[in-house]
Amino acid sequence: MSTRYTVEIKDRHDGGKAVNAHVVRDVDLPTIRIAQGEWSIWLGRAEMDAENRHGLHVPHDIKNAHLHWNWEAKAIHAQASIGLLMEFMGVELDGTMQGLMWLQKQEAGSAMLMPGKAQGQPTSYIHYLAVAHWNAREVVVNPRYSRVGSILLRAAILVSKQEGHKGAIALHSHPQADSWYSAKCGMTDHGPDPAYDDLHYFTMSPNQAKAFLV
Amino acid sequence: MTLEKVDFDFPSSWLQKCDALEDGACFTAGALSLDGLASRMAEFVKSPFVSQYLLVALGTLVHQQRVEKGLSIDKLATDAEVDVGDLSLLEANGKNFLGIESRKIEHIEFEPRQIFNLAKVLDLPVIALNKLAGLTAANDSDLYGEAVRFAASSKGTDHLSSHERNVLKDFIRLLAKE
Repeated sequence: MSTRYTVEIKDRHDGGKAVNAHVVRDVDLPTIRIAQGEWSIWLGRAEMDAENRHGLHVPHDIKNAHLHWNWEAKAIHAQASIGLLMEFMGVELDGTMQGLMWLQKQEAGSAMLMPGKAQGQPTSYIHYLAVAHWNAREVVVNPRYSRVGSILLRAAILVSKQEGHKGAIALHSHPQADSWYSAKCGMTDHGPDPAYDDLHYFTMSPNQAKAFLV
Repeated sequence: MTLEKVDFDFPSSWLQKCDALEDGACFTAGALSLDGLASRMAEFVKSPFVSQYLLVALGTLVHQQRVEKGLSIDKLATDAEVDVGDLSLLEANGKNFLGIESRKIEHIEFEPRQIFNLAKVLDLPVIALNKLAGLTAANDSDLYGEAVRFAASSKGTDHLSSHERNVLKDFIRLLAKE
């Protein structure tokens, strides 16, 4: 069953006004299906809107990448694997998911589910993290809601602590996000991972997590 | 491993710090293609870790179906020509889902004939039972996921709740499709 925690995000389109959203733990498959539909429909409409007032700039590769980023398939994979050791989380505002994350609460036997350099490491692993297209800097010039990515990262650290990993987390970042994870979040960049599309592998140690949470 | 009590909180002071951190930031993590994940899943479902879960699900299944049919463990052992000690261990595994993490699962090897007999006596699909027992490969992540959910739903008592009975029926229906 899903659990919800109130959190404030900011609406940049309304002068940075704070609005009450929720961090949702254990997001279920129907919710993920709806979120994916909403994200895809938004992107399709925005692309067609030549007079997009939010200054949409969708490079073709990014757009295709997002469209093919099938959250429903991810959820089915996660459920088919050790469901008790996996968790989908999201930030929801007024019934719409503003960001989603799939976290693996690493346990010994499930190590092989983690890719490349992450395999077997004693950490919670973020398989996927993304904010909704209207909040994504790589999709729109003026993203709408802020704090969503940071909140999901904090949630991953908190789960890691709950699971006994002292806040240690790891992920493979997209090139556009590398600088955020290293310079802003203080994670360690282990360089490109040849076993995982050459995405950079990042880790956050318990000490780094402690600094991030303050 | 000691689990830490953690407040799942998002304090205002921390959120304000994020405002500065997020300026111009992108957040996307994880590969766009699902190919890698699919191949890792395929390897995963063949692993010893998964075999343990399947064996636990088999123990739960045999125990619950035996209770449903009103058979004693001795009677089932006799009818299926299975050692009563092995059967007891199998059912004990089924009652010990959380024992997987503490490595308390007894590995029991059954012969194909014994699984066939158990399936016949308990009115269960033999092909699926062979997969759960590890006698044939269970390269099927759906079966694995359902088996884990089924085993986790059991309270391990000798009286099935209506919820357990419904889950049991659903699981047997799924096994029949294997």
